Amino acid sequence: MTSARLGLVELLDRDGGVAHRVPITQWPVTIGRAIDCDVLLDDPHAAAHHATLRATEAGIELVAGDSANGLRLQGRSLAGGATTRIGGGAEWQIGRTRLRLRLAGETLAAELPLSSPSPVSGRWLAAGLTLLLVWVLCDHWLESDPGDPVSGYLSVLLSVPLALGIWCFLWALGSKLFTRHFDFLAHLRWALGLLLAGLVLDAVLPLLAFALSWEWLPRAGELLALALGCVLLYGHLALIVPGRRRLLMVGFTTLLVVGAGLKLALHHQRTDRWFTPLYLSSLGPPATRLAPTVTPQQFVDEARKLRDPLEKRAREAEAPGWLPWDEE
Amino acid sequence: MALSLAWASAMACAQQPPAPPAVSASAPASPSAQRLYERARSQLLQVRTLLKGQDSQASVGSGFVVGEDGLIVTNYHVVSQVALQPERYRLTYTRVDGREGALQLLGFDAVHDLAVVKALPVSGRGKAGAATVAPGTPLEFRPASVPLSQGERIYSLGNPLDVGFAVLEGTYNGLVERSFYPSIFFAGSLNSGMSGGPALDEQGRVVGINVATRRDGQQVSFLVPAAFAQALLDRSRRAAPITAPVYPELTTQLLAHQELVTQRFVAQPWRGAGHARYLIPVPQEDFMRCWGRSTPADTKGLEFERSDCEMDTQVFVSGALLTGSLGVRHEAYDGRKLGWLRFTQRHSASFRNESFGRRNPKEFTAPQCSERFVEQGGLPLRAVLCLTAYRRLTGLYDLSVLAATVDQGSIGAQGRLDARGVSFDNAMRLATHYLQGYGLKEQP
Repeated sequence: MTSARLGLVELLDRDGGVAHRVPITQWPVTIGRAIDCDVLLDDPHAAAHHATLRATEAGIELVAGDSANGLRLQGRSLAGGATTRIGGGAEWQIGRTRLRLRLAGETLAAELPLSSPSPVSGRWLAAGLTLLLVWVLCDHWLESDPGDPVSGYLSVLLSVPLALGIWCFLWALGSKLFTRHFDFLAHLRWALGLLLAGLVLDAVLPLLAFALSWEWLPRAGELLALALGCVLLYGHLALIVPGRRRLLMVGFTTLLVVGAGLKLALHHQRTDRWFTPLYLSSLGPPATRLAPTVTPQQFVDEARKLRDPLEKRAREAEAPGWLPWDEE
Repeated sequence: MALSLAWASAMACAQQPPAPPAVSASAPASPSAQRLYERARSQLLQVRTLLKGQDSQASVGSGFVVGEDGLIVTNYHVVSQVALQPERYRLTYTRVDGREGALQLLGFDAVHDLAVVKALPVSGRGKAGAATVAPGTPLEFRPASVPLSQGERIYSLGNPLDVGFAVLEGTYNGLVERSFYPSIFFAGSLNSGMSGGPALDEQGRVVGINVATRRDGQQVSFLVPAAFAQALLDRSRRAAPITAPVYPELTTQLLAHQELVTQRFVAQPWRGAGHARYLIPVPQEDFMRCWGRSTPADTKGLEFERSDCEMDTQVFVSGALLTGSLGVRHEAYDGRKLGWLRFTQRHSASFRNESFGRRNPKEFTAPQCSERFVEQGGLPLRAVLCLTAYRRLTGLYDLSVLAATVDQGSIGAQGRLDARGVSFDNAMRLATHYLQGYGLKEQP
């Protein structure tokens, strides 16, 4: 005849999953490495009789036994002989082993719905991939001369999806490690979306800069690329550790601000200018030009405004000697 | 086309292993050469620049005693380290007989690459007191009234590569074509270390001063005409020795030089580039040299024609800085075989490809640019004007103007003007002049 099950002691693995269950049929329950313990631990950091669970009128008590390492319970340490009240669902740690108590009759949390928060739509993914392939083919066409070998298209057609696949596969392995789900498609959706956004910006911004004669746009483009990179990494990591989104958001915002600041500062230190593009170097089709023209005389008169800042820079103390420049 | 002009002073850091003597150098000296060397050897010096602390030589050149005062003429580039950093370097001389002494810088003419130095009396040890460096008669300049004729023998003296004093024979071949200032084309072999040495005629009179040689040719060397040395000598005779860095005086000389260059350049009309549609500014070849290139006729991609014009004359400021010259380039593109999309990509890539070089931040500020769409002669252009200020040569700038046509979908042109070491106002004049050289040709 089996006694009624009073509860369970669950031994948890690293990820918090249940590795082993020990039914409780009577109180007290002894825990330790000794062979006479009810819950037998295979942990060199546990004592022979490390802890005892006993039932009192007030509830269940966890009593720390005679051990060098003691117990850890909700961030507190319990030395040998200490006693504390615990309820169902309580977790504590002995040595390197995490344990959880379940009691008969405890109220359970509601059932979670099955679906993941946002399923990956196959149709959009296919459309995105097609767009990417068409884009790289057009890009290759643009850069090749008429009569160049057609085999060139094959290599871009293979290499771009392959690189994207490897990138997403590696991130999906990360997901597998942390969430136990090989979320390849979710990573692919994220990477593909950002890649397409990057390509579109890369094509549109220079054209816009040319059309409106916005010299500042290529400079802003540098920071935009950095921001896109941060968003890309944030998205992948958020898929890997979905519980830490807020932390990641703060982390990447900080990274972006610090990274952009550092990039600007380093460039300024090296070249005395904040941004890499010295001038607006993109030319678009003449029909897209919206900005007006001036006469050479007006243009040169406008350029006279360079005189004061240049004179000021030239007068300033000589460039520091640690600038990376060889005299010869 | 690489133009490599070697200033004939041997820099310590650029020493080369001994090479077998050139054929011309091993030819037996003629009786004239022997006679002239005998007469001139006592007036010949090796000018050495020493690092002050450790007395090791930083560079070597040559010099000679000339005129009644016993002053010594050499090249500016031989003494430039002392002129720019007197706190780090000092000058000494070594005579043919091995006697040595210290030199003082009295004056210089950077534009013609000349300097005048004075020997200090040798101190102590009994032999002191000799006000002149060398016994014997100083050399004399050949008067300007007696012009040289082509093919006349010239004897160049100096100490090539610190190997030993030498006399080299060559011929006078007139003045160098397309040089901004008169410069003698000497068909003879000048070597590093002979800079500042005299070039003598048959009578032993100084006709020029050794200055440079072309590395990509044989026996193509250059002499500074004696008249410039005479003028500098007259100016420097009573000058106080120079002990502070010469940047202010150097700036004055470079400002005068750029004024002259700008005036002559702006006064010239542009040559056409021979383009069917565009007027593209290409300079006259009076003091500039142009090289052209184009794609082969059977090219499948972008077709282009280009010209690259550079001024031969440059002013040596220091081993790391040459300035005072102009350059004008252009490329005319025809992308009709490509279509407008591909053409736009090529046109844009070429415009992005313009380099502003990495300049020594101790000498230059970072470049600053101004850019707009400009219309000239009915032709819309994207124009970029960039300026860099010299830190030590106050008031001088390097100018670059880029221009790209933006009127046609599948043909276009891009050009660039570079002016090194010009005043701000002249930079503006040159930029205006350059941009006004563009336009649309009137279609018949």
